[in-house]
Amino acid sequence: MRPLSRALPAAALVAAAALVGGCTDHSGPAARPSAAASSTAPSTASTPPAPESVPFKVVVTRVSGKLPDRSRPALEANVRKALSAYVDGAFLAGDYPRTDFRAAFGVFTPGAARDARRDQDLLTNRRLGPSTESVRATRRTAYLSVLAPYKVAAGVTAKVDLVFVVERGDRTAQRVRLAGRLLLTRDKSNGWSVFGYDLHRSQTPRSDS
Amino acid sequence: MRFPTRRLVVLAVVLAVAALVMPPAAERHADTSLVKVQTAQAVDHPRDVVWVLCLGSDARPGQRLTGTRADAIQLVGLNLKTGAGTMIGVPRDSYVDIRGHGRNKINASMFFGGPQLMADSVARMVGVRPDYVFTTGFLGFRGMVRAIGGVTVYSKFAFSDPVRPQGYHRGKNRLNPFQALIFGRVRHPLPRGDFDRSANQQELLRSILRRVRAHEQQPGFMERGVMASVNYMDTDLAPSELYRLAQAVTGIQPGKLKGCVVQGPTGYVGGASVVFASLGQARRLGNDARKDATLNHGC
Repeated sequence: MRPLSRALPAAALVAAAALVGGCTDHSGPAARPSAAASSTAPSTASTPPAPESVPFKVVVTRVSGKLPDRSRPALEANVRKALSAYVDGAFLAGDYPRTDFRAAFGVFTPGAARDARRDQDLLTNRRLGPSTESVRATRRTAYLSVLAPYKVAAGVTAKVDLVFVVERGDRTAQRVRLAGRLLLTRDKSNGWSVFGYDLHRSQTPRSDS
Repeated sequence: MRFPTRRLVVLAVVLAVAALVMPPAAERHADTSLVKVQTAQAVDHPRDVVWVLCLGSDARPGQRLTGTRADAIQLVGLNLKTGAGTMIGVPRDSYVDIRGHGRNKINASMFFGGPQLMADSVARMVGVRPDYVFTTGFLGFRGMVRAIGGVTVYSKFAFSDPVRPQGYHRGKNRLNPFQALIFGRVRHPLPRGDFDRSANQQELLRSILRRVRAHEQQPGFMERGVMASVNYMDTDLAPSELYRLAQAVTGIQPGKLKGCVVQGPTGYVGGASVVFASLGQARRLGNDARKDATLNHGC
């Protein structure tokens, strides 16, 4: 675990957040709800159909070593599977309102899951969960830097940018942005596990809802 | 958080000026706002405390990295939970018992039995057995420094060397890979020779850590650095383990990475210059830092 005191000074973060437009939704293609929306948002008989989320865009952008072109789609798919499991459990899936987000860290290594449970106010929708009606993703991207010394990926840093709209009935909807790095290695079943994270989160009222 | 009075006054003046020069609210477009941002970081590693024996081999091109002498010997303890660390420098000429080979310079252990025997000799001296042994050579060290874009060291001494026309200054020096190698190799211009060289090697390790921490968020930086380690370093760690360790090590804070060099008088044995290293000091350092990789009682 890394001490939280290593975080950037709050003032710099506030300034950076303002500079990067932390209060406005990007209106690029990735931010538009798509017909090919995630199947992760649940719908139940008692609730209206959940709004659609944009697809999770996962792309290999850098490779240190060699990774054959034919291996990239499989790697992207496998990492997407791990990242989706986290994002779904932490934000998109489940019956809202809810308060239990402990299952969000199933793809984390045991030690990372322990740390993540401690940080779950930041890593999940727990704080808004009790007043949430639905959540949809308006941006879901992960750009992968891959370590592949012997033509096989051994480690991946996923630079993620996730934006969610949290609908809360009569209360003001919230826009939650979670961005930063997720660190992954292969697990014993040849899937991918998150062994580290370095994330920042901002939350603003969604004024156009 | 408390703000000093002076800062509050400055803040008040800034706000007052802003109120005067900004157009009325009705004419402004709210294209920026202040947003509270929270951060969380953690890296999971199977061990909380890791001891790594870092060896610099003097192998020349064509020679096997682990079949020659080790000229740089640093036993590095890292506490991945607290972010503290300890570097124990062992003078290469330390005259010690080498298992199965009698008394000799400690750096001959590498020649006799490779990294394993080298680790054994250091463990017998310091009382801490390393979890991993990393060995690199001249070219490998330069390759790894190149992969991270050079380093900045703080030198205790000014000295000159042909590879750096402007010389090495006391204080801050930005070094390219070759200059960094020389910084860790020279001993003649240094007041205490081998001991100061060992301290310079510790400063190099600290500078690498500073560099990595400053750039770890740059996409591809960590992967490039680990790739260079895979290419240039002898280790039995799988790349995925090395990757995980490298990511965890970025949690070590350079300011909490303390270094000590084992001291002792110099002399001659059979015409060779040796250091009669203080085994008492070596054991005391080992006992102090063994469990938490933290030196609580100084050098």
